[in-house]
Amino acid sequence: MTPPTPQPLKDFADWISPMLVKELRQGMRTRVFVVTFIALQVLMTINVVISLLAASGGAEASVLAFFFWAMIAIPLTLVLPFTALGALSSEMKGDTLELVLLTRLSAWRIAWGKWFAVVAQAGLFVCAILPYVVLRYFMGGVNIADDLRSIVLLFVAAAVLSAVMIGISPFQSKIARILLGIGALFGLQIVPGLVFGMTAGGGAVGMAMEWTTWGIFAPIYFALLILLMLQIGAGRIAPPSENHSATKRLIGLGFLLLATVARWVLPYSETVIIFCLLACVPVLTGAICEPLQSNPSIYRPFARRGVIGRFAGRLFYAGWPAGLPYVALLLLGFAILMACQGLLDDEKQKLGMTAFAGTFLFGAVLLRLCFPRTRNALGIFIATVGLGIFLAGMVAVLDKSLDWGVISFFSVLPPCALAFNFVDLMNAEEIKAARHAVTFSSGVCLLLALFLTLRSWKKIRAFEDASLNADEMA
Amino acid sequence: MNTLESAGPSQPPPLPPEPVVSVRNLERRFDSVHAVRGVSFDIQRGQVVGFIGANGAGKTTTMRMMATLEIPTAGRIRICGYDVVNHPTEVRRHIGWMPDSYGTYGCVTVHEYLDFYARAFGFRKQEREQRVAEVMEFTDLAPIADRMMDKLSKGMAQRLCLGRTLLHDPEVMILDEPAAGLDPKARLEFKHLVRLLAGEGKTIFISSHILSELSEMCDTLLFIDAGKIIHYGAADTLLEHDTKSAAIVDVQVAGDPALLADWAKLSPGVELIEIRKDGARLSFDPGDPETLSIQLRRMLDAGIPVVDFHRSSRRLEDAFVEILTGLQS
Repeated sequence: MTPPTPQPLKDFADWISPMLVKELRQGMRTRVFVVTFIALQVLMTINVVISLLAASGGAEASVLAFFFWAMIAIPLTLVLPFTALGALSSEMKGDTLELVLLTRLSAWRIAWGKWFAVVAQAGLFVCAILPYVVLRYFMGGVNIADDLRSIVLLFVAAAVLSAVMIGISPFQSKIARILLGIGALFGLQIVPGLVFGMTAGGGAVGMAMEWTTWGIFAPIYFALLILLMLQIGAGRIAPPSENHSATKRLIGLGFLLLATVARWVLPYSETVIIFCLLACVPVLTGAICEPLQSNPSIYRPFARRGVIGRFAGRLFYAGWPAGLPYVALLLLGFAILMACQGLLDDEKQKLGMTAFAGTFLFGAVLLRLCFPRTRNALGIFIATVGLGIFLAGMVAVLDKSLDWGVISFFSVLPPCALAFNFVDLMNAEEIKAARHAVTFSSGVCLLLALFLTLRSWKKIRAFEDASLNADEMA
Repeated sequence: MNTLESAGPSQPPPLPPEPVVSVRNLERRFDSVHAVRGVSFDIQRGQVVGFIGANGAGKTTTMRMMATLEIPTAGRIRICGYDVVNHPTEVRRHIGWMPDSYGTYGCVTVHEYLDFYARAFGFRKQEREQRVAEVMEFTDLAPIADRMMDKLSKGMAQRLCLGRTLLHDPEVMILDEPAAGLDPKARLEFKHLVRLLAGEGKTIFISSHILSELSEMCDTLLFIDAGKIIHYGAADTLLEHDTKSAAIVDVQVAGDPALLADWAKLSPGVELIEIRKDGARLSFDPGDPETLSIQLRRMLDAGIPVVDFHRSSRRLEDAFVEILTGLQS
């Protein structure tokens, strides 16, 4: 027997990721897929038969249309994405992940293959319902172009949701996965409405974004979002020698670039900028929560490229010391863009952005000063933000019922200020005071973060040198 | 030319071959637990090395570091010339890792499982089919190629896992407790496969609790305790009798063995190790042939109804316990 020799790809299956081949073989035999597929066919047939009978009896077609779309939407946006929720954790718990990682498959290819298998299954569902769509058209009263567009949108939603679930799936706790999954599901439905409401004066107006804007913005945005979520999933299962942080941070910069281009090219770019900023939340959170890495493989690719490489590494090395400057830089970029777009003109908007940035800086400083050796930085950060929001809620209720006037005082804590800004409880004076408070605390956090970063650069320099020495020895 | 060479200054002795596995001052800490403490050893190409230690001794941690699955806290491991920390990808191409516990995939057949890994190792169509077929033949999995993985017995699953380990033809095989949980028949089959692999010249690093099996499979044994290497040497030398140390003799008697036990207690230089229903195991110290002969004669003269006696061969377990006891004392 001899090691594998590179050969030209002749067979179609050889072009497909090994993980995809395995997942498709496995996934299409699972009970969930088989039952859902058969149930969909049966329900669709019943729906068509009833539609035929109802058409002759003159019954209300909208009820049947609702069931028709519900039958398509449930498997595509609920059943299939939620099967992806255990995709990576099942490999970890089943002791199969390490064996796969010892092959030539990287963590990224594993995550990608898992996601693509779910999307392929969604594609099969879509193909299976197309005959019923055509039947509906022949029965009349249906615009087939609208139907097809809706199916495409549902398919895209399935792809995005599946990617989000793959990103969440490495979490070991089943409860955490389910909560995050449900949160993501609702978040993806609620957040767009909030953003449109904030930027375009109301959901209806916002939703009226021109199709040209959607047509250009949405594919790039969703592609970046899918890449980001798959990278998050891959990063959590990857061996320490792989640097997924750099890719995630590059995707974050990609969102900034998209927002910048949109600022000058697209109408309704306020909405685009806010969407891009919100998509960066996982990148920002990851950058402040990652532990410092010592593996030479992380440093070597940058250190080899001399001064420029080392400078870039200060932003893209895995671990918080490079993550903090990156967070500061990305937030600064978005702040400048928002200021140019007039999204920081009034005090409330300034308060919102400062509190948003301050929440990350505050979390980062808190983690490094109070929990320097923690292995669950993400959990502590989420708990900190959650506690801040809870505290803000308590203070807001007491303040309004007892007229204490302490809201601006509690705004020193950025998560509280962020929550105050959302619930719209403050008058103009309070908003101004809150903004001053949160600007001060965020500024202090920024200085502390920079100090902590600079202090850790000595270690990073040592790791860089060690990685180059190891390379020379090899 | 030969004459010139023989007439000239003597040639320097050839350098020993570079070890295929080189471990130096290896350390691994998990918070307050110091799992591996300064472990160093070399393995030459083609060696079959048994790795022995109690639970928690640091075996699996050491093996996982060798398999690039853990990062050492300190020290260095080189496999086939590549450092496991600096060049993990290259190391992975040269090793086959078989963990003590591994999962199975639901809804996947034996053939599909091997086909997936062959794809993952980068084999293309014909080469992949050929490789999977070779491995299935070697591990005798061909008759169950279409059986679902989750329907396999432990022995079959173990052979499948070994087959997966062999797919990319690794130079070094790291097998962590491969025979654990197998029934005697499956254990024999597995031992046979390891012997075949050793015959093919593979370097095999194998851990097990079943020490007698290791002694049959391995030519070198490595004992680890509390994260430190306590012995590294050839299996044969470990099993050889030290003529100056005590001789262990199994004695079978007719009737009640109490008489034999009483005699052992009263005789200087004789120690009762274990009493059995038909006799006892005794230790004679010193164990040199002359003294042993005199002591056995005395036993017969004392009227013990001896049916049979024979010198017991030293077991690997005894050697392991002896080394541990020596360290503790």
